[in-house]
Amino acid sequence: MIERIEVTAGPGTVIRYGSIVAWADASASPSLISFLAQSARNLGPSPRGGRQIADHIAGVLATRDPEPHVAFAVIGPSDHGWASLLHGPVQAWDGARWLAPSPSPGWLQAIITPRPAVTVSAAGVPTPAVQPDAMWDLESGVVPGSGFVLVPSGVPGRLAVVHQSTDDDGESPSDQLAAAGLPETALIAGDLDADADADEPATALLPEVGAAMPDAGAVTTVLPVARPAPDPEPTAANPLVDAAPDLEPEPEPEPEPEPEPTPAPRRPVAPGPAGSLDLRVASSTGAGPLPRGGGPDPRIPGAPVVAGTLCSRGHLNRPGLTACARCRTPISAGGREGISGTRPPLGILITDDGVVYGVDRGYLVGSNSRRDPTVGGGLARPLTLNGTDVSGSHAELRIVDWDLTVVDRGSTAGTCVFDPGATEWARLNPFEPRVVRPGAHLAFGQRVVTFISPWVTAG
Amino acid sequence: MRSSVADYQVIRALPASAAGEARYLCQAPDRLEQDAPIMITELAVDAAGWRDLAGKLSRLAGVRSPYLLTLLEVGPDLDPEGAGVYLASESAPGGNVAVPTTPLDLTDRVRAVAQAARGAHALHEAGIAHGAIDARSILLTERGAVLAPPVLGGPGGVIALMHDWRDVVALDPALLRGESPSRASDIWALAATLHGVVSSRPLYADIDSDPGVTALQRILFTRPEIDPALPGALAETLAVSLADDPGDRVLAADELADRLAGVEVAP
Repeated sequence: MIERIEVTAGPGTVIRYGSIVAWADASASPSLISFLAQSARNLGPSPRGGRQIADHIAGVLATRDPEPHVAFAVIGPSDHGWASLLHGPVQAWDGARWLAPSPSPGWLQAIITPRPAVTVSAAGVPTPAVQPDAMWDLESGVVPGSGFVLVPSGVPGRLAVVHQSTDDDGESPSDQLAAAGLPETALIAGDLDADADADEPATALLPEVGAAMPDAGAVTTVLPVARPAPDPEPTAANPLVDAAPDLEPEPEPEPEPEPEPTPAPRRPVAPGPAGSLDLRVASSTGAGPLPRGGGPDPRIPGAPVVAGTLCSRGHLNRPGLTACARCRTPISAGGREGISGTRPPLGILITDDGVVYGVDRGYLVGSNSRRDPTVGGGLARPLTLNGTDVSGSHAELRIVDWDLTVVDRGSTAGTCVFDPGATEWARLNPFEPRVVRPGAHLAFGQRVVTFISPWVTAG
Repeated sequence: MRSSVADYQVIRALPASAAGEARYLCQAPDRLEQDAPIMITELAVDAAGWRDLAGKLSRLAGVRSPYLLTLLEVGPDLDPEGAGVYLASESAPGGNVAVPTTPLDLTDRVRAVAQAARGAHALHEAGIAHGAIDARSILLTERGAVLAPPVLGGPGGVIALMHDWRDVVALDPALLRGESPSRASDIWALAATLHGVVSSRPLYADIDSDPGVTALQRILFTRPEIDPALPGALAETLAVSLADDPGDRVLAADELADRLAGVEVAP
């Protein structure tokens, strides 16, 4: 996966094990270096090690950041490119654009497409040019260095020959793509996204820079995108780099007194296995206590609103019910109808292997529905059913007012419904919504899901 | 059986957790400075779920209470035999209230649920609802009964994992309506759990012969029936904790614990 790693001379530490490369600046503590090295050592052999180490560090940082001002970076392979995590005042140049956490201190997770290499260094430091024929190569271990250049091998779409442009005439990578007859949209392939999950499908679908495009002629096409990095100054196309101070200086703010240092709950323990999290040092999030008791239903801003009937205790019910589905108090006929309020959840779905899902929003049922844009866009949650005859995105379960509806997505094995009181299964026409009655069974291929709901009306 | 999980040496396998997760009694590595054996729980979490899991566990571990299981460490389990993630915690040599290693008398059982109620209260005061309290989640450690963390793995939207009616009988019907766990639903679960460990009768008549889906419908559409043979004060505490409307229940789990502390239960 990696052709070579060139270490840049200077202060700091460069780590490489397998296909994972990490760098930390000179202010990093020994425990941080040890943590990075141990994590890289353990995950280096994994073909998804980059994603794993980046996810893990992000998980740690989501709860605490013990060294917020230290610059460090990790890069390694994932399913759809090179996963990276950049922390603190660090920068990466992928041959076309800068990546840097913003604001700093902070951290950034991104998928990187090397064009054809990635250079990592402290923020604001001139980035060394990629030397295609350089002999330097760190194969494994921990060495001093102020950054590194990662030159991957076998990157999808990377051409066998890559030239380095020695000019520095300000020609943008987009210009170079145009000169090579390639669409500028190819640049999107390397766009970063703080949410790597959402980024991955897009990255996988878009052409890689340097790929032999259908109209690009012979495979000997050379894309000269490997060029010395420009100075990491803010530009419109380079929004991730920290903005320089305004030319007109702001008035100096009054210096604030240093806050009293609070002793951190440090424990003199060695780091755990790669990626582990010491829970003994976790601290309370300071969230407020949960509310006590019950009371009328609150209206939740932004939540779907439906018309219904209120019971005497202020619970919103589906019209037509004679007793509150929640507190069982009788609802008098015609009393307090026409009220609208936040729609309560519709019930539960239970799969044939015993997983109980709440129906407070829609689901996309399938064997691989997590990758579907409906899920990626937040319109539905995945309800994963494994089975040879369950399509990847098999059917949608949507909430419409007080009803749950099912829509077959044109699945191979089809979707069937067995309503309460029915004598046989009814097969759905593809893309034709059908209301799911409480107590109905749904068959997605050979897998069965049952809908249970308190909102049963006489009709 | 595995011989090690990460750098923990497995001593022996333990009964699985309430969610069916494998558990091991292990010798902790020196770096944890734990003399006593600890418990490792395997959690089926993929890389995508790791961030959520780390956040949830950190929130849980940040709640300090002697009535909560002490969490030590969580980390990725790279062994192909593993479930993806391991959770290290203090061990529970006494088993759990559902399956204790030595028989518990009635007083012990009531006390164990009361202690779990205090653990739940600590979570509630920190803004966390447990959502899965049952007899298997009340662990018997050397310090006494503690509440184990809720099920941590699994995809979004999952309320419970059900294999038979015992898996859901302690659930507040509100959860089966799809509502989110709350202080009130945990109080219901504590009371339903208590009923299950002090009475030989199920909380819902005839549920023990129900298939899974029917059991869910029975819980959703019928009222629980408190065993009339239970001591009056205990039955009264259960009744007020199992009210349909959360506003009619005891308002806090520590109030339930206080009530139980005052209940006389003759063996």
